[in-house]
Amino acid sequence: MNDAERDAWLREALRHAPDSGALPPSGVSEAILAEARAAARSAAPRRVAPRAARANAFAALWAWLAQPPVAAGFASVMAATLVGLMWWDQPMDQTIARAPAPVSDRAGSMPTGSMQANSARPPSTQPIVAEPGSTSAGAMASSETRRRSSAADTPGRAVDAKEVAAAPAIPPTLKNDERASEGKLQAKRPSDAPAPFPASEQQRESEKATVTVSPGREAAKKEADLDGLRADAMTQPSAPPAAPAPMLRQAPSAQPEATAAAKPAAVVGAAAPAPAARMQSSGIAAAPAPAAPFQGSGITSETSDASPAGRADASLAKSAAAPPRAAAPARDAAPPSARNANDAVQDALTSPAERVQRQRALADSRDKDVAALAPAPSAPAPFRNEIARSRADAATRPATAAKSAPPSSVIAAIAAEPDRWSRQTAAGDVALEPGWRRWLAELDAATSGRWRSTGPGGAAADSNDRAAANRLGTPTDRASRADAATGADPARDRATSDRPTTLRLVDANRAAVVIRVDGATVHVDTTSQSGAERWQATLDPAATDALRSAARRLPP
Amino acid sequence: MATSDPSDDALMKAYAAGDAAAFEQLYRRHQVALYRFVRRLLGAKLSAQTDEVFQDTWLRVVNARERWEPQGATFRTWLFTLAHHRVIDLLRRSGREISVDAFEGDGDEPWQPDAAAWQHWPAPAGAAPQGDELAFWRRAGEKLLDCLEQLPLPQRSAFLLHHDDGLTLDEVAHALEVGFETAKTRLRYAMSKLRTCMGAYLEPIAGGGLR
Repeated sequence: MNDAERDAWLREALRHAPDSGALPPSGVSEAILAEARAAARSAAPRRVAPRAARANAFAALWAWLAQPPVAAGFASVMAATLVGLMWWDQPMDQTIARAPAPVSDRAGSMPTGSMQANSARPPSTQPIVAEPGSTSAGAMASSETRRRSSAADTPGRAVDAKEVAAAPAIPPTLKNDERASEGKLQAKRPSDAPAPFPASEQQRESEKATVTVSPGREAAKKEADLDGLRADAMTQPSAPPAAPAPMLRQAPSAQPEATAAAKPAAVVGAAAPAPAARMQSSGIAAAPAPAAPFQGSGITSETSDASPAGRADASLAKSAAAPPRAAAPARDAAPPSARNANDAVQDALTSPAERVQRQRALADSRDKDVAALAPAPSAPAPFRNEIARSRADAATRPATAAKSAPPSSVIAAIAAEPDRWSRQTAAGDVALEPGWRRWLAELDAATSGRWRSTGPGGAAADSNDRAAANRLGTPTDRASRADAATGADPARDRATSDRPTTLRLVDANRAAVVIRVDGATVHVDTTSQSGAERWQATLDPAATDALRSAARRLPP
Repeated sequence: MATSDPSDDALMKAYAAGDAAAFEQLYRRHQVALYRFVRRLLGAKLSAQTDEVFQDTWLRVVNARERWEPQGATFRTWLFTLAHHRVIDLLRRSGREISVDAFEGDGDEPWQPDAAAWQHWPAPAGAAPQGDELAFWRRAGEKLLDCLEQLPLPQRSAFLLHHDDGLTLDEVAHALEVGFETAKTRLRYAMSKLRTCMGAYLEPIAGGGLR
């Protein structure tokens, strides 16, 4: 018997197995058939609605996109596409801050960039904004070499030395623009990078003396530190900073005053006109607390119209220092003993010629310091405006001081041409009597040395001043305005109210000067072709009473 | 099955087009064989799950009507494949370990009883056995079901598909999703074990009658 026969017997046995005739339960069969019929009914409408099929396809696509892996991949592709389109055919931004290099590396590589911007530059670097057109080709080539070497660390800007040397003469205007932008770029980089570590021992000492001092420290300790610094500075007058420390920290390194004073004003990084350095060396500020505000404000005030690099330096110093504004008056609070000691040290260490030069520079710097003290370093935009105003005041103050006082100038003008001058009265213009001339002389004598300008007249005057300015019109205008305002007799009103204290002088049929004595103050408003001016002098009450009584005795 | 009847594939396509009657015809055609296959595959211990597996298999056919493609296999083969998968899922859920190795525990050829024992079997050609012959085949059938439960699932499914449902070896391979030789080997091992099992049952016959 083979396997085939046995398998036939097995199949026969399987066919007669007890479960050979088993059927599914009727309930199960009905459920299956009902489900199948329902599915068949739902299948027919789907086939007659192709639009619905497309909607289902869209829904299926949307459901596929909604899967997290698919959505993440799609979003990544879209983001990459967007970034690629944004930077398509665009050069890389070279001003992007790079990762800060180790301190040791930066100390060696920084001198090309920030050192030029921060440290003391030779006078030849001053025309970085406006280079003279007469600059020789060699000088321009050397300047170009420096500029390109300073930008050598910028990717894609490496320049061959031969190419630089053989660079043809470029028109000064083009080079100036290019250098100005380059200066901005160079001066901007240090602000992005962390402050480098001071390399030399002297600089570290200077930094320590500048940064650690505060208004609350003892004056003796400050004085000792300053004396030590001053001695170091005098013994090493021209030692340049080895590392590109911010100029705020370089200022106390205090180059000799004479050398510093000779620096161009635009070179503000370590140029001696930095107020802190001057004050320290001259002994004005024995308390080093205001050093930072003096540095920040002085630097900014001097560089507001300087090169772009200088402005960037000022902003850098401003951001680095940012001291409280209230620290400025600490200069005056320094003990006199400390000032005397500093003066003595300076006198002993400097020659007479240097002392004279230093005193001249000090006189100039005081005016600038006054203008520089006003701004708050923490507010950049108002800071510059205030600086500009202070500088304007400081610039005009010597000129106005040189002018003669108003009564003196008026008396001189009247004496020179008496026929041109007349006096306004209620009845009209009359010739200026000798009595009024004497009154003017008395006024000049009483107010000598007390005049101060209160600013330009005209539109800037207050309401009272505007009223006075209105009275400076022609007689016809004045009469019409007075009639319209009061309806009374203008001559009588003016005679009773203004005659004792007001004198209006007419120069060649034009109201030129109005002198008013109000209380203890004498106001003089002058109007000329060059503009209007306002002056004011404060006298003793007795003097003003005497002037008023003298005026009452004169013809109205 | 009449020759004029549509094929399974045609009925399935008609049902996918929305013809519910086509599915009813398919159901009537395959319900008995599928139900018996599921019941024998699950065995006596899990026979209560037969209805669940049977219904689940047909519902899968309903849900997959639009995606169904012949792809080289007949509808009947695909139907038994679905049932086989459902049985495997059920066995896994019930905690029984399913071995995919058809030859586990089979080191050598199984013992086969003496050939003389088979000579006492009645001739299988009898269409309608009567009397003692019918009783013999019924007892033989019960014994065969007991022997089937001792087979591993792959060998059991191969034997049932080939000897009970009449699938060819190719169709068995398709249904079990294995290669032809694998299906053939599984079937050979299954038959060998069953012969052994049934030979041991037939031994007493040679000694004096059925137990």
